[in-house]
Amino acid sequence: MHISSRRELAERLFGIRNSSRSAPEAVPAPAAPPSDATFARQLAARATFGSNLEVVGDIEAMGPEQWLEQQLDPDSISDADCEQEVANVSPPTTSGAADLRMLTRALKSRRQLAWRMTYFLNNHFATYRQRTAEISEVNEDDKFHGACFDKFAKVLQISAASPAMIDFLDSQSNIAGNPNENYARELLELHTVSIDGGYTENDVAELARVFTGWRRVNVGSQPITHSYFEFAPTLHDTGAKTLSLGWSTPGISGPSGRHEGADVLNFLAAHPRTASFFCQKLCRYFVSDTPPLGLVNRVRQAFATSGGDLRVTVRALFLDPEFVQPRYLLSKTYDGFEYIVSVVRRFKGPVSISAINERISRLRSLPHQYHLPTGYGETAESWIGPGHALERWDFADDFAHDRIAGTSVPWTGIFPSLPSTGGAWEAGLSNWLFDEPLPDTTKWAVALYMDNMMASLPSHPTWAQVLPHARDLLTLMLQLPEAQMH
Amino acid sequence: MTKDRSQKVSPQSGPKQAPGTTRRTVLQAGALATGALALNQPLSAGSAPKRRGNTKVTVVLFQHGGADHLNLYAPTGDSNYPLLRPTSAIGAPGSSAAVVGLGMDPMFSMHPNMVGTHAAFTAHQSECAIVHAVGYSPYSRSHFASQDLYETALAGVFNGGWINRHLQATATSQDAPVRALALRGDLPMSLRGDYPCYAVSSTEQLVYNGPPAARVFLDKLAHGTEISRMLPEQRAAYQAQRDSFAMLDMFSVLDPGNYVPSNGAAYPSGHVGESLRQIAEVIKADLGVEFFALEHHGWDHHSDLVMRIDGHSSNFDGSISAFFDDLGALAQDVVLVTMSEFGRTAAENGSGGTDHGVGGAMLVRGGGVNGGQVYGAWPGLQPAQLAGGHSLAATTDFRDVLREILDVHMGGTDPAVTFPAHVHQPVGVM
Repeated sequence: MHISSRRELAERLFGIRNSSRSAPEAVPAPAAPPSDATFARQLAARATFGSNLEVVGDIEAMGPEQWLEQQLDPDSISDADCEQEVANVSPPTTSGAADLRMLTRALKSRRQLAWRMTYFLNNHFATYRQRTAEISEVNEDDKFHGACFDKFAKVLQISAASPAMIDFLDSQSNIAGNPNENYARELLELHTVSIDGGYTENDVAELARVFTGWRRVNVGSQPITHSYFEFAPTLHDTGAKTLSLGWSTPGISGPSGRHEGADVLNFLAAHPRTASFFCQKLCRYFVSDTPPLGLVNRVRQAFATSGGDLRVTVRALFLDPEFVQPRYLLSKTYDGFEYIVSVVRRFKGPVSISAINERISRLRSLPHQYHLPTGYGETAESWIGPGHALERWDFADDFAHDRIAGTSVPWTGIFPSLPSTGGAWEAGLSNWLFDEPLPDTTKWAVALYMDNMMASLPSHPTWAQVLPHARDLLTLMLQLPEAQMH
Repeated sequence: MTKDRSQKVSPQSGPKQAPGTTRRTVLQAGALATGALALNQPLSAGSAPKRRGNTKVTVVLFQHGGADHLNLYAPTGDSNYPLLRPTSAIGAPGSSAAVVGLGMDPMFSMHPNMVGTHAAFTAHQSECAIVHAVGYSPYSRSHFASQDLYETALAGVFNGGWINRHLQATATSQDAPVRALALRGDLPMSLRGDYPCYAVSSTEQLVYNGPPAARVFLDKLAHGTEISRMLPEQRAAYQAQRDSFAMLDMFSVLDPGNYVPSNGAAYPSGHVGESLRQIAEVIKADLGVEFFALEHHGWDHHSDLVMRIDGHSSNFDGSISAFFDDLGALAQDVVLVTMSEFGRTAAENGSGGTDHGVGGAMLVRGGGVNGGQVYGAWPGLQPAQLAGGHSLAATTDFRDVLREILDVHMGGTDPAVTFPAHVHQPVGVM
């Protein structure tokens, strides 16, 4: 259906013959924005957990490239307020702490890109909280955060020696004479060279033997208060091991046996297939479900020539000219966590972390609760469809009506004076909610919807009279397809 | 028995056009052609056509993780079996093993927790069968690669899932808007492809909570917006919006919170029991859904097999048994088939568990199943008989089982589309 005018749309949608309140046809064609403004909006959308007017303003004020450099150097950004709240609200051994801490940082940290990268790494090296200790997940996140712009090899070493990974993929029971292949297989398939990496079943078996004796030690119970890595030389298989990928060891006995594992991790981190696989996934996450080949190649090259330096790699991704192409604006579907966080961040009001966390749980998107080592999917096909839409709509409706504990929509902040037309309602809310302009038909329709609602009110309504309709309007706008994307 | 549907939709001429067009026509009839629609007026529920009257249903339950079928359907008659599994082997009835199975035939015993399935298997005129030593060649021992191979029926992920291709091959103008539904968070590979299929983690989700006027508005907007010039990702988001409203309409008759199972059927708690309970309600509501897919997670028992499979086998058996109790006579229209990405190593490992293996087993139960038998040639558990020296070999291709279900129970398929490049070997399970 092609709609050529607002009037026609009104007739089609509502059977309305005459929409008296709105100014007619007052929708200017958007001028091509200056590229710095586009860059700022795209950075705000992709390098943070949710854009808003303040973030875009900061990026524009500082200049996108300078803002990016600052984000790539998170230690240079003071984040004491956020970390204080993390410490107060979710001590590391309390149940659900890892998810709550990640959520607090996604909502409030000024080190947005570093935490988004941590979120990505936590999912790439996915572990399932139901099979690990809370403290292990908390420590793992903090270590990933500390290394998120370091070398990929360093992150890989952190993951391999993480008590969470050791619990999740059975390294604990991988011992000389009775190897358990679970970690070795996923290390190849999911963490480094990928299923197309050219390894054999025998490589999986050999690699499992390399990691025999890698264990974790837990201290305390209910809750476990401390968990740390330990290499047990007596459980290590000291025989020779050879990977057809091009790595071997004569076998090392004693405490130095640990170096076999450290060495093979460095080998896998430097493997060209790892660069291809990891960079492709990184670009799918930050740029597009179908990232352009040229961009992926340049990012991969940055990764390979820098020895897997993630700061260099991520910088190359965001500075790539294709990152800001119109084809890639508003093209990524939020996962459940990102959708809810993005909505809350739009309004920057007070929140209850546990109440928001509970809503993310309903969307089955808590960062440490995926049951498979693949982690959550990073493309739309994992997050689109009626099952997802209906639960997001529930959240949108509850949020717009202040039914989520601790949050309230700052109406008078959005509208210092009460708008008198549907068009003004639409424009005011869109300004807060969307970085890219809505399709014209949607804009007009939203304005008409509000005009219709206001038609039943006195000609100079009060806030109290309008508010129920404003809340319904916000529900509707947060349920639009555009609100599911960034 | 095979009804050749290829004259309707040949694979070369593109089965991809026909189903989309058909479905959209149906949807648009309900939602778009009504013209002017006043606010606050609920959408017409007329977009859900009635069941065709003879709808047959297939429920595909995927045992995720690689179930240990040598424990669920144990080869207690194979003398090597207890030697390979000194701590975890099931014993034949009357034996002195720690865990004694339920006799199926001289060769096999079911895990003792599989009480309901065993009763169905041994019943007079049984409609419950096991196909053992199932798989494909060459095998993969990766969870994800192997699950994809099962769910695409070895056609490659770019060609979508076997159920999706079957739906394309058998599309007609009388199809219900939703012919295949997954009870899980996202669409399994078996349902992915050009034919529209849907996933909800629970039918409890199929309710719109929000202002009625907003629902009417969003539905009209989703259908009224010109999407052809949008980015493909945005188009997909609008299509998902349309689908969401179509599903709300179609499933508006359900009331899962107040659904009472028939015949005193008692579903165990947990995802599988709850999902099968909801599936039973949808089947009884007669909406034309032909395929249901669900997963039972947590079969990846690398350690402590005896302890960890205990609760799993009970839940698996109890959920399936309750489902058939609940369906009663309607079970004649339903076949439930289980599969898993692989069986496990024949020998137990040092952690008292088993690692990723090769040959597995399928449970096939429902109307028209030639039950009471274990199908498939037994490859043996001697070292030289093991696939790769470690695992039960596969002697029956899983596609042959699925093909018989589609041919006999679902009224036929186009094998060239659904199971490309596969030469069917009769199993006889249907």
